Amino acid sequence: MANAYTLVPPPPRPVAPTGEHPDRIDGVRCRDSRVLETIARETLPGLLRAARAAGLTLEEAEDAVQATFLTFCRRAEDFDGRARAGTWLFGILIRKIAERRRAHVREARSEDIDAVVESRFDATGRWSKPPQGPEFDLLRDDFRGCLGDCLEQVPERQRLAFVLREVEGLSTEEICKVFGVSANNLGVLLFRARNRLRECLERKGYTGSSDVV
Amino acid sequence: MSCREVARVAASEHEANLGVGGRIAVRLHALACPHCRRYVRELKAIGQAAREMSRTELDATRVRLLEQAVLSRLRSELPDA
Repeated sequence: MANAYTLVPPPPRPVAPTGEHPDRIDGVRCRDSRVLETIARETLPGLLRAARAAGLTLEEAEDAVQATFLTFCRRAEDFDGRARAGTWLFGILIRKIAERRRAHVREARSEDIDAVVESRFDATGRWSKPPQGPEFDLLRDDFRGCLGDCLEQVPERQRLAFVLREVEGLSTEEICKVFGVSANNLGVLLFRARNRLRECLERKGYTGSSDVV
Repeated sequence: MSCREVARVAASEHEANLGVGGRIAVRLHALACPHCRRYVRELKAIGQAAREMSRTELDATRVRLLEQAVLSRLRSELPDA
């Protein structure tokens, strides 16, 4: 019954909510090359995707990922295993990206997308403009291009939060650790990212066939 | 529980302020309201599509080269390498 309906998409991969596997904690701390290399292999593609999602070019992203593993290796004895090694690596990566940017742009208090979403409801909070949008036809040839275009338009922090959640399958708690933000802040980032994508795809005409007259 | 509130919870995945009663109310509403159901379904589809897209996004050869570079760098950092 508990699983009868979930509002939010479950993470694509099952993720242990807390902590690294005990066998691995010591391996990391003593810098066991087998353990470190396994972790590197497992996490590298995800780190690279995340760095790209944060707006780095492919070359910059590769540099940032290399620097991330170097820091990981040098600080291995500090690893306490309370977070998974992958989460720790994402945290290091986010700091590398922030260093590149210097000026850290704070999330705006309110944005266009908030007003757009708000305009879909009437004064009582009912849909006045219900979703007309993407009942995505994933097979349509131009769909990926559209989603790619729409993703490009999402501000970097929102996009990164979305990618860590939906593509990399981190839990919301893990992403809060990685970003160093509250659950509330992360909620705002995810809310804006998802609604931007939804509105964008709706504008591009991914309209549901079932509801259209 | 309004549609606005249900949409906010669904998109932000932030239910902490709701309490148990609030969470149940959100789920019941989403089950009964076709617009909210559709909204939630669309968000799920967006996540799914992003996942599928990312599978083919990275160039495998380039990933392998980076992996080799990282591993050899790690080995040179390790004390007993």
